[in-house]
Order: sequence, then structure tokens, then C-alpha cells
Amino acid sequence: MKKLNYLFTTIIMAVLALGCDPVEDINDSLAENEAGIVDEFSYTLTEDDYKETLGLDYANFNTIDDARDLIPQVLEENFPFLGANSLSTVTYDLYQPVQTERSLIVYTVTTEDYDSYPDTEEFDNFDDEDQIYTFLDDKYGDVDNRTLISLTYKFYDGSAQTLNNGFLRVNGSWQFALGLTNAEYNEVGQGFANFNTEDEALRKLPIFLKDKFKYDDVAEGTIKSVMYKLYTTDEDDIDNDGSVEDRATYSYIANFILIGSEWEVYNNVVSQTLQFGNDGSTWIPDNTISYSLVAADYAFIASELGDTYPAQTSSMTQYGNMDRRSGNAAFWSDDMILEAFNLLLNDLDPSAEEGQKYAVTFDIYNGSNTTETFFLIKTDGVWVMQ
Amino acid sequence: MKKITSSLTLVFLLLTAFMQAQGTIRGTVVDGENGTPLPGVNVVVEGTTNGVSTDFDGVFEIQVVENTGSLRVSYVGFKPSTLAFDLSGKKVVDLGTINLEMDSDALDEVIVKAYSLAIDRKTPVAVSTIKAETIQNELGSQEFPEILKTTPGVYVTRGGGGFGDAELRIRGFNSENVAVMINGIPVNDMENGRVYWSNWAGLSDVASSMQVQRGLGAAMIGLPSIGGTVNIVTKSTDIEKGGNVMMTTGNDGYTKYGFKLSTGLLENDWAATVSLSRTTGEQFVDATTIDAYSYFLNVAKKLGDNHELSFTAFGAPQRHGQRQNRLLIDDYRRSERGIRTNTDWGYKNGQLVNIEDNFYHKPQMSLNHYWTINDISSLTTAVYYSFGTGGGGGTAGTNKFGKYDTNYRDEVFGPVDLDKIVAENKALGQATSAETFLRASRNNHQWYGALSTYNTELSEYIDLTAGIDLRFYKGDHYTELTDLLGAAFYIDNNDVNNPNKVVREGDKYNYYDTGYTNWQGLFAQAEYDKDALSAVISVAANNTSYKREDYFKYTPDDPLRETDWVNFTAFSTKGGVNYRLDEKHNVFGNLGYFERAPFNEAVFINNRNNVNEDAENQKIFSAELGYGYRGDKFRADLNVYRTQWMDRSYTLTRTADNIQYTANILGVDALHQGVELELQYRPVETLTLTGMASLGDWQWANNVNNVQVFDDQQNPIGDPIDIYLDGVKVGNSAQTTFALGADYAVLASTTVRASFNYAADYYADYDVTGRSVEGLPQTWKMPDYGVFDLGLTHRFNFGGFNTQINANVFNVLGTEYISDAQDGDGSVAETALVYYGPGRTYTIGAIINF
Repeated sequence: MKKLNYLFTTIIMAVLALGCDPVEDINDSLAENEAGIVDEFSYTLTEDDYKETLGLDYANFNTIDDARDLIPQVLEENFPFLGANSLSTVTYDLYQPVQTERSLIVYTVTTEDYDSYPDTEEFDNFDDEDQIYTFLDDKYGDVDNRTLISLTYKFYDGSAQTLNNGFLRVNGSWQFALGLTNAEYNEVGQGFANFNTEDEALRKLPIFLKDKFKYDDVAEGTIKSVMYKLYTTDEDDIDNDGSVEDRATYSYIANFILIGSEWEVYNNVVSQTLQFGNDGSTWIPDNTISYSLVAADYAFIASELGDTYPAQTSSMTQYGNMDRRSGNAAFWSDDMILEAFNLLLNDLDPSAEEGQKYAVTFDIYNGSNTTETFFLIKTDGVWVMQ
Repeated sequence: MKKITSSLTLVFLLLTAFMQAQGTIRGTVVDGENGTPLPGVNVVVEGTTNGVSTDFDGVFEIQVVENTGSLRVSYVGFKPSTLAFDLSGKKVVDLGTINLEMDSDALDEVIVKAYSLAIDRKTPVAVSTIKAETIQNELGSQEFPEILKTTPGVYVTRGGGGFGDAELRIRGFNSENVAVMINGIPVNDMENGRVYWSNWAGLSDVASSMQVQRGLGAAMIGLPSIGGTVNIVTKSTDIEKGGNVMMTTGNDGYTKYGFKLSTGLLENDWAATVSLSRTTGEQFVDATTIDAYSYFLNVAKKLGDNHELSFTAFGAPQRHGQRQNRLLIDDYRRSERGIRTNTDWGYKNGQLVNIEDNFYHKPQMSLNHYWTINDISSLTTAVYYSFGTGGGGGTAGTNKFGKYDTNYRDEVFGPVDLDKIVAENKALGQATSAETFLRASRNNHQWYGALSTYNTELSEYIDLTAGIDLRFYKGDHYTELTDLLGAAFYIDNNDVNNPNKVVREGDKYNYYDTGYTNWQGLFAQAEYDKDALSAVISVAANNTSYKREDYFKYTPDDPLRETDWVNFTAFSTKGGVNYRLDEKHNVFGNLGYFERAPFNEAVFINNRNNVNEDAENQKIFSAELGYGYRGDKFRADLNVYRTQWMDRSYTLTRTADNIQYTANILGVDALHQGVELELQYRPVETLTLTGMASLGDWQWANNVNNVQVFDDQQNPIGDPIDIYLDGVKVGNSAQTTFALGADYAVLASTTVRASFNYAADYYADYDVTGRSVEGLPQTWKMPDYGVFDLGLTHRFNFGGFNTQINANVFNVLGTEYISDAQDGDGSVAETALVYYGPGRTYTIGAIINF
């Protein structure tokens, strides 16, 4: 029995030694060389990202440089598992304050005013915006910075109209603020040429803007300043008459931004996007263009390299993919593919700047039909592997 | 050790129903011819239901309440023996060694011959035999062929891990090169040679033995025995009266219950056996669901002394979820489900749907006639009919099932969101062809056969056997649309007779054809047996004819719609000598040459009716030497083999832009040689140690030059290519295996088992025709692995019924090992597509005999 015990012990030890984890070494090596998960995705920063992750007071960045510097921290915090070659298009808010002003000077251009300029003397109206600015420079060139002029004037554009618009003095030049004509106040449901409350103005003006510019091609993100009038108590003594109880019509400026097809009150932040790429250890602003080969591209490569790699190109032409079985006569090696992509990218994007990156995806056959992606960067005028 | 033994004893004493015993009778039952212990022998007190079975070592111990009486000892293939006992004044009586004599009633010998079973120390082939007892006790939820894993030269894999998806490979040859016979009837698919074990799920319950003959084998009929032959013999009139009910439960909800009932041979010379079972639950791999039944019926009648008729019908209707897509090692590493990961299933309406599944029912019926013509002659005839209905499910249309495609999965490798695919089909509108849907590749067939064997003694020492083997097979192949996934129809343009065909669920589309296979075989064998020498020589000739009819690719008036018969005549001859040096030692040798007709797909390449004129018979030459030792405590078998496969032919096919390219690759040679060793050692009565080692050297032997590729119009495409195979290792089977096993009777009623199986030198599978560049490395060699199994069998009397508990834990250590691999780019681990073998699984079952 003792001998048997030895035998059993030997067998059990052999079993434990041989039967452990056959795939352990492979798995360890896979874990070590893990490329990480690659993803291409869009992400919009949340309030938590600004305040918790970055410790900012407000949910926006002051400058684009801040965004470039700080967004990588957010991506690292939220997507720690993503590895090299991941791409993220990040949407963030940028603080771009636009001041709202109250009227200080209300003025209606007089016949005498028109008569003092040769261009406007004959018809007693303006017919060119430059004429307005010349007049303003002459009459109000020395007002304090950020003074608003509510100007009522006649303007000839096919027919003569009476307009009331705002002009804000900003650092020596004039910033235009669209005003509403009396007719327009009527259109938005006001009996008088003013609004009764600020809330009413901010509710109706987006509708007004949408209607007014419905035939114009206004770019998304455009900010428009609008000058509107309120019949209100002058609590702040805007008119400097010493009284804070007088009721009168005052002009204000509000800013609106076009988001989608709607105008919204502009709260001093604009939405911006930046692309970031993961280089394996951190996220950096990135210019990678993702591109998938189309039929014409395979044809282009075949025509360019048909003589150099006849077996590869004829197989590629037949099957519409690159043979990646290293045992096969039609096998495309990495170098051959790189050579082909140099020709292709120089054809597709000849003016690509130095440092431009591409993620080129192409169809392959490796026993089954699938795809592969090469990550290329233009270095010294040549496309090389990243 | 002692402590473990004591605690085990205590546990089983608690489990054992206590009986008021008068005394105990002991004994050991052995084969009278060679002294080999016989396990599973029935020992019953005559006139009672009190009975036990012998353990693996032939030992039994029965408690009796009577003082005197007799014991009836019976075993399949042996003459029953009745022994009187007298307990008066004693508590224990030891009957010593009981010799059972082989049943001289001709029936069993006829069966042995008709079923091509090899006889120990006589038939000159390498053989391992698994007894019914072993199958019953040790199989558990394993796949049926896995019971052979401890025999040399055999590699069994569960493939993707679905129920019945196992594949048996012998000596490095795939399943289409391993012949399988059930009761002497060949069951390899007539068109592609494969064996689908899910069709035979119930056989493990009724098998009386399973024999694996490596190499040429003992069969006389034409068989694809390149790697070997597996003979499964079911129970018949030889079975004892009685029956059992059984229930087994295991991991992942595996549940099997069934019963078996046998009348034994009745007074009126009738005998019947019926067995039914039901299996549900899942296998180890995710979503490998099981929904299976099995049935077996045998009715036999003795007609006088000289005739016996036996009708057998069995089948196993089943549907099971599959894993059809291998994954990268890194995929398993990353997947939450680890080695259980299966990407071929999803959810629809909250229900699990197997995107890849298999459903099949193939009843096999045979009528056997055994006729003992006179003292020296017999004729056995079997006519059989089998028809299969079913197929394999899969995907069609736009592929939305990618393993990384998180548009349709919650996470990579997660279940497929079929509801989303349904919604997308619906969004296209009910007047638009389905974008993505499910289909089944159907394969319905009918197989008629007749096999007749005449045996006579030419002289005292020479037996002559001759016979005829006829087979006719008709297989319908088509694609069936099984689930439109929310769409109303699909428009198919593959049927030239129905352009823009509107296909709905249940309709055929894509392809529809019938393959016919006709087989006529003749065989003869002479056997000499005198004193120490036995020798055998056999010859066989067969004609295989193929015909193909295609209903979709050709119009009814197209002469190509139905081909002529294409004939292949093949010959084979083999012979062997066995010499019994003395009572203990024997040596044998065999030699054979045989040809095999090419498979259907090599004749009608690309599933079109253009006959491949270059298709050729494959030629196999095999030689083997063996040595056997039969001692009291020690048995050993050692053999060396060399199988040379000449003119192995391949058809290379590639599809692109719906154009199919082909090439015939002729003259590929392979050489499989190796050494096999099997040992059994019984140092003490209660302990049996077994060992097996198999060292193979399987390689491709030459390069093939100037292979021309053709398009579907038979126009040559490009320059001829070369295929570089010389010295490349054969993949898909472990070239080195060994096994160790121990079987220890803790108590007379309780046996514990342990076994360890080790596999090494295992190369990834690959497309031989893809090696068209010189100097490539060997394909990826998978990590060596070992798997450790434990088992326990405990017998006790349960309310008067002889009851048995079997518990098995497979892969006790939970070893994570790769069981199958497909070679990838650069032949490295990172690119190989693999299946892992199952992790730790278990079954526990009870059999109550009555």
C-alpha cells in the first residue's frame, strides 16, 4: 500500500503540474500588449465634468486653449479603458460674453442732419450704411465706451423706410443692434412700439427673428444683437435725469444665437467641438480623418501597382479585398499596403498638411471576410505608420 | 488515505439503505477463457429481486436473507451460471473465482462476425473495447464518443460545445475518415463521410459495447477506416429480463431521465426491449440549449433453433443551440462570459433565440435475420432504412451579427438584439424585401441498405466469409427561410425558374438540389485459426455512383438539370496474422491497401452539375505491428502503425462576386505513423490502474506544383500555383496524448475513479490549399493541456431494488484549455480562432434496476 501511496502522490503532483492553466502565458502576453479598446465616439461635456472633474466654477471654458488643455483630463477620467487610436469628438461650452446695454441716447436724425452731408442732402435719407456710421462718428464720436445710441432714421432701399436701430460704441467703433420698426412691434402683438416686460421681449423676439430671417441663409451659431424698447420705470436712472420714478420708454440690447433652426437667448457661451485622439497614454488634440476604401480606391491601387504586384492586385480586383493570409501567393504584406496607401492618399488628399493623420479601413480576406485599419501620419511628405 | 477512506465509508454507510442481512456472499466473476475480470455482471438470488452487479474488477458482494439458495450469474455474451450457496453457521461465504464461459449458442458469434467485432488475441488489429458498464457509469453528460478519450490514438472534441456536436478523430484523421458502425451497419454520411453524434444520442443508454479498432480494423465491407472504425453494438435478445429507470442532473440545468424495459427471452421465443429518454437543459457553453428525446426499440423472435429475426428502430429527435463561430483567444479573455462565450444567440420578444442551431431526426430501422444453416454455416442479413429530416440554422441577408457590433449588441460579445433587427425590417415597410433574416440549411435524406454475410467453415481451421453490401442514398439539399424577423417576405433570384421569387417562412430559396449515391459492394474473407496461429485475408470491391439533380440552377428542359451517373470503382485488400506465443504473450501484424471514391462535393464542384472529370479515388496504404500481454495482474498492448495516404485529392474553391473559382489539387500525400500503448494493472483486488500513451508523427509528405485555377466556366485564371506541404504537420488532432486512470473499490458497493488525460503536439487546423508560398512556418501549436476527472459509483438496495448512483465531475480543476483552433495570419496565438473545451462540469444520476 505504501508503494501505491507514492504512486498516487506522483500522479497527483503530475496532474497538478500539467493540468494548471495551459493558456495562461498567452493570456498574460495578450494582457501586456493590450492595445486597449479602440472607439470612435462623440462626447458632450457635462456639468460634472467642468465642476467635479476639472474643479471649475462655471460649466464652460474661458478660452479654446483652456479646452485643449483640460478636456484630456475629462476623457481620461471617463474613458480610462480606451486605448491608442481612439478618437473622440468633444463638444464643450466656451464663455464668450456679449454685453447687454441700456439706452443712453435717443435721437432722431433731422432734415438738417441729412442736409449737412452732400450724399444725403438731396433726398433727406440715408441709402448706404457707411453714411450712418459717418454721421454717428461726427455726432457721437466722443461718447463714452459702451454707450448705446437708439437712432431713428430714414433709409432708402428701393423705398424709403423709417428705421430704429441701436448702435453701441465699442472701443472706438460701432456695433449694430437690430431694432424693431413700429410695424414690427405691431406684428409681434404690441399696441405700442415697445414691450411691457423683459420676459415678454425675450419670449417674443426669437419668434420675431425666426420670421424676419426665414428666407436668409443664416449660419448656425450666428449671434444677433437686438435692440428692444420697454415702457418701464427708470429704477436705475438710465436717462440721468435724477429721478428713479419716472416712467418712460427705454431701449435695451439682448443677444440671440441661432441653434438649429431656433433663436435662443444667448447666455454668453458658445458650443464648440474639438477632436482628440488617444496616443496610447494620453489624449491629445487630433486631426485624424477616418476613411474607408471604396471600390474606386481598389481600382486605383490595382492600376497603380498592377505591374509591381500582379498576383496581389488581380486577387484584389477579383474579390474586392486584400488577401491577408500570409501563406497565400496573393498575400498583401504591411509594406505593400503602406506603399498602396501612399499612392492612394496622395491622390485623394494631395494637399494634406504635414502631421495630418488618417485611419484607413479596408476589406480583407483572412479566411473570412473582414476589415483591417491602418493608422497613418504624413511625415516629411510621406505617409508612414503611426 | 486511511482517513479519507473512513470518512467516505461513513458517508456511504449513511447513504446505504440498511437491510436485515442473514449473511454475505462474495465472489469474483471472470472470463473463463482468459481470466479477465468481468464488470457489470448480474448476480441475483434466484426467485427474488435481490441482486447486484459486479464492479470493475468482477467482484461482487451480496447480502442475503436466506440461509440456502442459489445465485444466478449472467452476462451479455456469456452462458449464465447458477451456483448454490449454504450460509448455515457462517456470516460470510466466499465463492471465490467464478468462470463464465463464452456463450456457445451460435448467436453471439454470429453477431461478432456480422458486426465486425475484433476478438482479443485473435483478430490482428489494434483495438480497445469499452463495456456497457463503463458507458453507464462514466459517460455522464459527456458526448458519446468522449468515452473513448482514454484510448490511444483518439482525439475527441466537443467542437463548438453544442449537444451532439462532438467530433471523433483517430490517428490524426478527421471524422470523415473514421468509420462508425451501429450493429454492423455503416452510418457515415454517404455524401460527405461525416458522423453527426446528435443523431445517435440515445445509443449510450442501450449500448452493450463500443469497440474502437484503430487502423484497418476488422470490418470486411468497404468503409472509410483510414483512422479507424468504431463499432457500437446495442443490446438485443441477449439482454436479461428487467429494466431500469434513470435520472441524471448536472451543471447548467442538464437533466436527463429515461427508462428501459426488457422482456428477456420469453417462453414463446419472443424478446423485446424498449428504451426512452428525454434530455433538457444546457451544455457548458452559453445558450447551448438541449431539447432532445431518444427512443430505442428492439423486437426479436427465435424461429426454431436456426432462425432469429430481430427488428431494431431507434432515433433521437432533437434541437440544440450551437456555437458556430470561433473567437480569438483575446475575445475570450475580454468577454465577461470567459470561455463560455457564445456570440451566436440573442433575444427576441424576451425569448432566447439560437441564431445558430441544429435540429434533426434520423430514425434508423433495421430488420436482421440470423440463420444458422448447419453446424458449419450461417447467413446473416440486414435490411435497413433510415431517413433524416432537419438542418442547421443560421443568418442571411445583411450581416448584423458581428461579435463586436454594438449596434446590435448591448456590449461586445453580448446577446444579439433581434428586436432591433425586427424593427429595422419593419421600418423598411411591408412591401420591401427582408434585409436580415434567419434561415436553415436543410439536408433531408433517405438511405436504404442491405447487407448480407455468409459464413462457413471450409475446414476445421479455415472459415470463409463472403457477402454483399448495397446502399442507396438520396439527399435533398435546400435553404429554408425560417424567420423573416418582422419583414413580410424576401425576394430571391437564385431560382432560374422563378425570377424575383417571393419567399416566405418555410419556403425554399437560394439552392435546391438532390444528390443520389448508389453503392454496390462485394467482400470476401478467409480466416485461419489453429493452435497458436490465426490469420486473416480479405478483399472487397465496391462501385460508388453519384448523380445530381438541380432544380434552381437549371430550367426543366436544360440537359444539365440532371446528370448521368458518375462511377468510381474501388478495391481494397488487407490481411493479418496473430501469433499467440504462449498463454500470456501474443504478437500480430497487418497490412492493407484500399481505395476510396471521392466525396460528392469533389465530383460536382461548386454544387453545380459540371462533373469534375479529374476527381480520383484516394489510395491508402497501412501497416501495423502489435504485441499483447495478458497476465494475472497486468495487461499491456503495444503497437506501431504507418498509414500512408497517397493521391489525397482536394478541391480548392473560392467565391468572389458570386463567381466560383476552383482547382483540383491531386497527388497530395500524407504519412501518419506512431506508437500506441495501453496498460492495465491490478496490484490488489480493489484497485485497477490504467494507462495509455500515444505518440504520433503525422505530416504532409510532398509539394504539389502547377495547380491551375479555373472560373465557373472552366476558363483558366492566372498562372498555375504551387502548394507547399512537404513536412507540414497535420493539424486538428493532438499528436501526443496520454491518460492515467485509477479505479478503487472503497467498499464492495462503492467505487471511486480518477482519470487524467493529457494532449500535446496539437497544431491548429488550416486550409491545406492555402499554403501557396514557400517557407511558411508550421501552423500554430496550441498549448499542451491536461484534464482531470473524478467519478464515483455506489450501489445499494433501495426498497428491494438494485440501485446505483453515479456521480462524475469532469475537468475538476477547471482547466481552461483550447480544444480546437483554426490557424490565423502568421500562425500565432494572437490570430488563431479557437474553441475552449468545457470548464468544470458535473453530473449525478441514479439508476434503479428492476
